[in-house]
Amino acid sequence: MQVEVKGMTKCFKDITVLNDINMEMNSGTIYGIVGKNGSGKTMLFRCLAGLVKPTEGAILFDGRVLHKELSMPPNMGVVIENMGLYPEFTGLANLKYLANIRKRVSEQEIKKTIARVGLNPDDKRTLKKYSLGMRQRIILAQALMEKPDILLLDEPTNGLDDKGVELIRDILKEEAERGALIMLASHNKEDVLYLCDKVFYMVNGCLEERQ
Amino acid sequence: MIKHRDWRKILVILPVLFFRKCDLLMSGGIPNEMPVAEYFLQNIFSGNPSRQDTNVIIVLFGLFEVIVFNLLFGTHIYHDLYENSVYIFVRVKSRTTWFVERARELFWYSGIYNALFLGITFCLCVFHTEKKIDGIAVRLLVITYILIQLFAFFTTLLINITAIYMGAFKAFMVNYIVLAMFSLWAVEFESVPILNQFPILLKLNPVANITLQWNDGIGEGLLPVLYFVVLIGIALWLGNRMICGMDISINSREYE
Repeated sequence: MQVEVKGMTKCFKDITVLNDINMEMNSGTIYGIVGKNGSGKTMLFRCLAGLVKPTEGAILFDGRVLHKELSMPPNMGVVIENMGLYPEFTGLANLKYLANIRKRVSEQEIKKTIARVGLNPDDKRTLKKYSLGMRQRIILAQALMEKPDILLLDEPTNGLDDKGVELIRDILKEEAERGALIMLASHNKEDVLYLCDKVFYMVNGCLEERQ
Repeated sequence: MIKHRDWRKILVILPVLFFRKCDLLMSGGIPNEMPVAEYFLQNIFSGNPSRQDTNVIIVLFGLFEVIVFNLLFGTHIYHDLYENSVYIFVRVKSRTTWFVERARELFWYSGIYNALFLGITFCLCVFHTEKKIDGIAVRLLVITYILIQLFAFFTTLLINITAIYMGAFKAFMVNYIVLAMFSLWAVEFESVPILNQFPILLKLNPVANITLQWNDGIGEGLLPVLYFVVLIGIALWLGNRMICGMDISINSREYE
């Protein structure tokens, strides 16, 4: 899988949130995006996930232009916001509901993914009774469960303790070895520098690449 | 999958009916000699207004059950879009698929809600008349169900679409002002000179199709059904255009 971003700009009225972004990314690599809060990291992810349409420029997945040749990005796992699941369902029920859209994974595989992120798949508690760290883990599980070709992870270690952070780092390494293209956004430089093969810095909506 | 929260909302019709039809429930076993169809017609809106003694308030009060459904599900798609859509949208084949699925869900909820509303009302009417159920009564029940179901679905879908465009509070306000205006149009139509010579204008009024239809006989029931299907088609097309063109997971005030 190859992802290209060509001259992408996103404006809201007279505010330019992303300014002439150009990137090229390939499978099996972990890319890091570092920037302060409000620098445009999340907006970049929203555009890549097909949720927000660029004002100018284009995003290409294996040469196919998003929103023209492709309605939505193919086989992507996303962690963008720390909620977005149904709080009145259990973790398993939420993931089963989402998995039912693509129908690619069995209940057994969903349970395995929940256990992989360090949660009990048979936990009968609803999400509203989960701690912040548990919610973050279940959101990560929804992104991982369908073995996506692309993983967009915005602050995936938010709310996790040291052990949780270590676990997520291991999982991301395994996913990259499997061949997934991973993009990781964080305001925590340490996280990004430890894991990523290539790091981009986001400043006021502009992107610069550093090895 | 119907969520527990949605089931609870649908079942709100039971206490609403208890409140609205308490006269039928309290009158015990004193049956009357009215045919089932006529009695049902009288009781659908708890005293169906006739053109001679109606005003806007009576018409709107007659639509109480529909308005309750609007209030319960008027933000169903809107909330799903802003709160739960991110992880759904990255999985669906297109935004249209998501919107059609949500609209289908709303249609299904409206179907259950109105089946309970009209089914229970019909049973109460049968219990209170000495006459037996006949073909006319069954036909009336079916046509009434289809019409009210389509009307409830159409208005609720419209509130959801408007809410996505301008926010929930404004959407409810705009829709109820429009509903009141349509009611006024239905009630005062015959007293407006020149316009009253064009009955087609009354038939184009969705509220008139629901509240005044009965006075013209149930035979005309199929035309309003077609009209509502067309209106729903237009609302779905508009909603789909809006969903396909908008930025998802953006708080509308985030970049103001």
